[in-house]
Amino acid sequence: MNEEELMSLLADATNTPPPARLLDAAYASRSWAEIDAELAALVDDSADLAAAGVRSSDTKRRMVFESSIGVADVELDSDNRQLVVRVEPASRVTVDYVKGSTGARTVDEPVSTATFDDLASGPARLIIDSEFGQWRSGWFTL
Amino acid sequence: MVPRSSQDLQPWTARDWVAFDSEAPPIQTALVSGRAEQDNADLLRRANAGDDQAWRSLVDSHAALVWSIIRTFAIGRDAHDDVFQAVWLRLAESMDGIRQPDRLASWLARVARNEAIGVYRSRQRVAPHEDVGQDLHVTTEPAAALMVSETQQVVRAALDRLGGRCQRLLTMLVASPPLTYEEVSELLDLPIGSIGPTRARCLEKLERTVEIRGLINDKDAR
Repeated sequence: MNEEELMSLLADATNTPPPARLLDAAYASRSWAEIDAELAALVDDSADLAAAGVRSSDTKRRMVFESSIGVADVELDSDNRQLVVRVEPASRVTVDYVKGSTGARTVDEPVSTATFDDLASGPARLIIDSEFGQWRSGWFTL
Repeated sequence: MVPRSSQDLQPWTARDWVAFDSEAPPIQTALVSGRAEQDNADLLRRANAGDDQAWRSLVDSHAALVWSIIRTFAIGRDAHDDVFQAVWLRLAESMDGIRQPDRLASWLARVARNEAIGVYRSRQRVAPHEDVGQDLHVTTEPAAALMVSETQQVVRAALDRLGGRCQRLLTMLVASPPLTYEEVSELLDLPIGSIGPTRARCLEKLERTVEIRGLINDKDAR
């Protein structure tokens, strides 16, 4: 079998659509994004380091989201189903952990740090409300 | 990272890879890139304005690419589903921030890769990049559920057997919409000059798998 045949077989085998239930979820996801709060940029993601081959024994994923209102340092421990959010500048914050389209769990903290335990896996995002304004993280996967 | 030539910046299709070996220029790639930029920019603009049909077109034209990238990570079926969903949620909220619509495929592939790696690291309790995808060679869905042919299933099994970087590289090199040499280099953290030789080695390994040897034997027997 020559390379052209092999590459053709590969293209045929890999370029197939996902199951219909996933396509339906993807179609529906646009409407979930409609929320009136500033979207923070993901400025640091430990998954980037892993992709670059940096080895680490730390099983936690760390992400930093930055908006014009503030910065959220997110530590994601999927193994323990825990997420810790530290928000700057410091103020009393309310953090909503929004899981897909199924609603939010809220933590109201006076010290700019919110901890969520016993979280279900799947795509989620944070909506952060501090005295400086409301903003949101991008979606990530627990 | 400096591309080896201007050709490396153009999208490459499976057919282009054959041309590469004979140094034939991929004539159609610039046209493909320009059209992709125009189409994606228009679809992103319309989808961001609330046009559901434009959004569905974006999903339809890139779903197979995203799914193929995610499948190269051995994170389990449920995680594949979660990551796939997360990629589209991320795009839905980032549509007005995509600065290079012609590189939307690459953007989606990067998000898919990062989410998959993030999930893998936190769910599997191991981190090494090269091990990602090498410890669990399972397909994500029964063939019947995916409506794939027996041949497609066999080739996927061979790819799963390769695992790791070879599986990811070969998948990206035949992606549709196509990824450029530069994009593949960035996604795999592999120097552009190494892609050709690595591809050749990976194809050799693929051809030696029991699955592909079986296909060849079947073909010879007919």
